Amino acid sequence: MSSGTIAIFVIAPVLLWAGLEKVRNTKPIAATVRGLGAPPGLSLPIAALVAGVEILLAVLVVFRPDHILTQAGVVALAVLFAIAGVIAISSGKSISCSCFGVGGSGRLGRSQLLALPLWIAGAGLLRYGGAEAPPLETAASYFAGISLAIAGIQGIRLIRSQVEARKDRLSALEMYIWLRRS
Amino acid sequence: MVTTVLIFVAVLALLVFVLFGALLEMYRDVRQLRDVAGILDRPLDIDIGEVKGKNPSVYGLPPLLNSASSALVLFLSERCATCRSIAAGFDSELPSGLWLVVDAGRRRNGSDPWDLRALKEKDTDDRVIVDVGNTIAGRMGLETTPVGFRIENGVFVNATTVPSVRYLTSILPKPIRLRRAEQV
Repeated sequence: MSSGTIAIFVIAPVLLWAGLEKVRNTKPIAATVRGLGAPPGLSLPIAALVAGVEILLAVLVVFRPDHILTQAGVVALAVLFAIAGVIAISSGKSISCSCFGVGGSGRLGRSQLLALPLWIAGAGLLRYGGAEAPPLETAASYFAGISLAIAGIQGIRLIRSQVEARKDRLSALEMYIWLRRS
Repeated sequence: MVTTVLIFVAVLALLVFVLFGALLEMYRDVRQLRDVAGILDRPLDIDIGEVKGKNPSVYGLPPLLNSASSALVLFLSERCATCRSIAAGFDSELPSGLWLVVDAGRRRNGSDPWDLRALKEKDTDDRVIVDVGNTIAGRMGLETTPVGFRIENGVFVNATTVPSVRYLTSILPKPIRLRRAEQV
């Protein structure tokens, strides 16, 4: 397996996860866009655009990793995120990242700047690491595998959350009974 | 054909991913609501007054507790539903460092209250005490259950209400283990 192919399996799931989480709930990323100074009326369309571009790039990384537009798109997106990080740092405001949707506690800033060289390295691997455009059937199997993998990870998170929620429910019931009695 | 099936599988998996994400968010929302409502493990500190610094045996508890480096004495009552829930939460045996004082209620003849029989089956070293006539709790001035009294180095240090099994588990004394012995 070439380093370019490994880059496919790293970049595509990250972009796909981030994009889908943003599509599912655009409000957090729209709030981030507003926090960066965009007009309130434009924040939602920009948020949807960012999410759409991430998903599109994930698909392109799997099906056309060799194409210059794919590699340039990855770098452009990373640069965009880094600029957002710079704006957040220079403004001194604490702006929620919303990079992977709701629930994350990350803030815009240094992380995006630190991630920039990694994204560029990833795009470089796609370009020079021997990532050729796989046959359609192979690419489709990659895409299915990646989709199943991220759904599986999300499933594990859900089960953990469900166990915790059950404990919460029991605990709340016990507390409620205790309060009513007191 | 194979490609179409694979794409279909991928799309389905992505839909499942989105659905799981929505459920995860819902669980987070419910937790926030419970937290705001104040029904999520909200223990209350109890002012133990003169009891602080005294040996447990002064109030009729076993003298063995006077030499305990760390222990928790949990007072339960048969009239309290949360107490029953907590008592039912002990799986096979009492957790290490936990002592139970069970108010026998009106049964002053010493017969076992509610599920004490089941508790005693789990009690291998006499850590379940039946407080006949509420004598021990009465001496300590305790009128609330379930309440946990922490003992450090043989004396009472503080007390808190125990609103749930989960909270009880979180305040139990942790057993101290030796690090792995070096090869001699």
